[in-house]
Amino acid sequence: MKKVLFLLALAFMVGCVQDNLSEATVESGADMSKIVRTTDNYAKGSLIINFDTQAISRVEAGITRSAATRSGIESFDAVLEQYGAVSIQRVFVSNRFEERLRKEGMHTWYVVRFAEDVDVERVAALFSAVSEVDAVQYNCANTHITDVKSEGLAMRAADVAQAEPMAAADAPFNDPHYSKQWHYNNTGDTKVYSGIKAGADINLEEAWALTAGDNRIIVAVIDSYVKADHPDLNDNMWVNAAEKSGKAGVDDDNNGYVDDIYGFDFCEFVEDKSTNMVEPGDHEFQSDHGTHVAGTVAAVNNNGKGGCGVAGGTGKGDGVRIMGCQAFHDLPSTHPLFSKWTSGSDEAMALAYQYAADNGAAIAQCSWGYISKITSDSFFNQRNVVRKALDYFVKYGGGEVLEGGLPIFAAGNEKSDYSCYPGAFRDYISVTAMSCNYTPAYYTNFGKGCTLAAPGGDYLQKYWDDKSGEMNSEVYSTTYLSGDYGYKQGTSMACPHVSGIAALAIAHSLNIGKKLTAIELRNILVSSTHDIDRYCVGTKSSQNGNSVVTLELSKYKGRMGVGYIDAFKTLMNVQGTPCITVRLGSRQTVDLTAALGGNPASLTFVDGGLTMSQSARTKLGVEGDVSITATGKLSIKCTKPGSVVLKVSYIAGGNAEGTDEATGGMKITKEIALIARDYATNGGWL
Amino acid sequence: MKKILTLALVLVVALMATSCGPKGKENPLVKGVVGEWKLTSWSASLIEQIEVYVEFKADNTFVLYQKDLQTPINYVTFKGTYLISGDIITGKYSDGKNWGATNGYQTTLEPDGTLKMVNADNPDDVSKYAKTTIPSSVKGGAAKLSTRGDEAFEVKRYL
Repeated sequence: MKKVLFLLALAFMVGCVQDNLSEATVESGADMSKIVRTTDNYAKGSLIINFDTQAISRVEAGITRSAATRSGIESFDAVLEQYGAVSIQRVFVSNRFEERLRKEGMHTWYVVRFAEDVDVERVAALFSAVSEVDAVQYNCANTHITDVKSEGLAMRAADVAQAEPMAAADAPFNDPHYSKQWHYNNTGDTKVYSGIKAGADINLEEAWALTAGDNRIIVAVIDSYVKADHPDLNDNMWVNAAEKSGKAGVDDDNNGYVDDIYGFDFCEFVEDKSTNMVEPGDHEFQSDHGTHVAGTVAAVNNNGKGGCGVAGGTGKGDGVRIMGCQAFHDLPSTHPLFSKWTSGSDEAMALAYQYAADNGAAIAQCSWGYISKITSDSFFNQRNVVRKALDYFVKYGGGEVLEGGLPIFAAGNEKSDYSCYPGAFRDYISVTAMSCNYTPAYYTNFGKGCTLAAPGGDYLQKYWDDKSGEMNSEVYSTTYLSGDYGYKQGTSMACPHVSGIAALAIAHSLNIGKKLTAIELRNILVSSTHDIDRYCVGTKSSQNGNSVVTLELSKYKGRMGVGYIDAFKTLMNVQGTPCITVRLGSRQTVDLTAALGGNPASLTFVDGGLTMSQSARTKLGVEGDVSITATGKLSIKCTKPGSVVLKVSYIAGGNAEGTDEATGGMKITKEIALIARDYATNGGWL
Repeated sequence: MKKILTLALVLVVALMATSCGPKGKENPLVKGVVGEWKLTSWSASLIEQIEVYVEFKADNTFVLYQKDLQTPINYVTFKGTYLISGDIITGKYSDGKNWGATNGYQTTLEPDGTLKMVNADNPDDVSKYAKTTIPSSVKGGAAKLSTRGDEAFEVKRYL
């Protein structure tokens, strides 16, 4: 009887809200604040539920009794029954890490499935009225189609059916197409673009002199399909040995998945809850996106094939390992399934991050984002299942090589003056795209939430040169559909440069006997940058549809993130705490550029900018103020020899840290060693 | 008889040694400082990035190899001349700059074989060096400097 009354009440409630759901449901008991994301591109036939921790034992008991079609909570089950729920299952898979999954509250997240014609908007409102429900999330689709909320961010690709060139005699490796990869080592080759500037790259060769990778490091590529048998990727693919040598159809390593050898296809898994190994020949509706991204991170170096990867090793099995975590299916817009949600979802994305953490990935390479303008971090709060999964990855990722996992995101390609989320979230790195002459790529997002820049290519630069259609000014890497290699441009292509450098940084830390935390690594990356604002002057040509438009580059000034990243500088910052030196007896102004990255003169310092304890002041006999000047220089007078560690806090990506009220940047606290001594005026120790 | 012979032998050797030496009292630092040294401590604390090797040569020249604090992978080379007066060593770089300790370092050879150099103007500035053989990688890599990037990783001291 109670059930009937509840259903009647709910039916009345929802019936009242058809014209104005938000206002009416609040009056009727629905709690719209519990509803996460919107119906824009939501998945048909499913909703994600987070139950209150107090209620979860009842839910688990109820599901056991009811063969996963009822929750054990009467009011909730009334809705399930009325709308013919097909199943209710946990989002995060149970596996050998169940204890920590429960500790982190991952076990309270469920997905409820209905027939595809069920009005999930109405059902979401009904669920939100249940007191045991903490959150209801639309299981939004993720595709490459531009009219949806999130998509992969690459913009174009093409064949490169060209004769195999010979590797240059002075090239670091023998990969024949390395000369195309200006984004690694930009020599100023005008075949790329007449206005190219040598040095607009990630300074990779100097970094390679120290390390080119380490096969203990795993980079999870959260993307579309990664072609595991690609001739230039296969040797650097992560291999789940237990599954490879195990029994077919069995979860040999108890990680929750069957036959996951090179990673997993979470879209397929979510779609039919069947297992589907990431393997060649099983991937229709794919794009080149994931394979291209993976190649930038770790295409095999020195194998006489194609181009290089940032952390692809030296050809001796020492490249970092790519874990293919497929969270997009890239359905073409003409495909009849397009109207369905089988192209990926928040559920698939969440599972990908859990998988990356549980299977030892240190870096999550994330060239995806929500395109819609989101203006504060509150969107990405704890009630979002993807945030929950990312928190889990940040805490438990890293494997044996890093304390915690580090996700790295692309900023987006919409020419918008803000980064897309999740990259815009204050804790994450969001990568903007630089072209081969240091200027911002015409398509890149910029502004709030953007952390740093990396080469992403700019097709139009070569196009304006000769309109040949060649794409030399884009990023060259491995592909899947378009032959084995091709060019692409996008913040999607900039992002894996940073992921590769992050992997190199871990490799170098291991070489020198250090184990970094993910936050240390993040701060190192952000401070291993160079000023890009100096190139944000004048104009460049862009396009708007078929029209040529002029981009005023000044609008990017101070808005491309801290600066553009340098691989060699990154490794030096791994080597040790940056040091600055001052001579005793007179006030010194010390340039902080090398220690902080970018252009310190344009940084926003917070928490007073500089922290120096009283004991440190006493130790060095500091007289007067210690401050950071408007031009980003430390001003200090020391009278006693000694060394101390200073802390400098500043914002990367904007002039204020992101909050629940407004999108902003990332707060970085950088330690700098200060040595005060009677150095010679030329810097000599004696 | 054996004792007498032994004493006589010692006396002869002592006389020979004395008669063959230079006139006047020799400063033990002059020879003692010659050699290759590695900085092992500085004012009781040594930041890990500081890495200094110095070679004092018998012709009163020196070569200093130090890791650039901005680029801790590379070593920077300095050359110059030094003078010993009593227990004070002063020096000048080949670019004409004086040592930072303009009145030199009060220097002693410690019983444990280390070289102790105290800034004559600042007794809190104490460096200790141990005898070593400077690795060829330090000598060979000293000239390697990156010049990439806007601020360039050239030798900078911000002084």
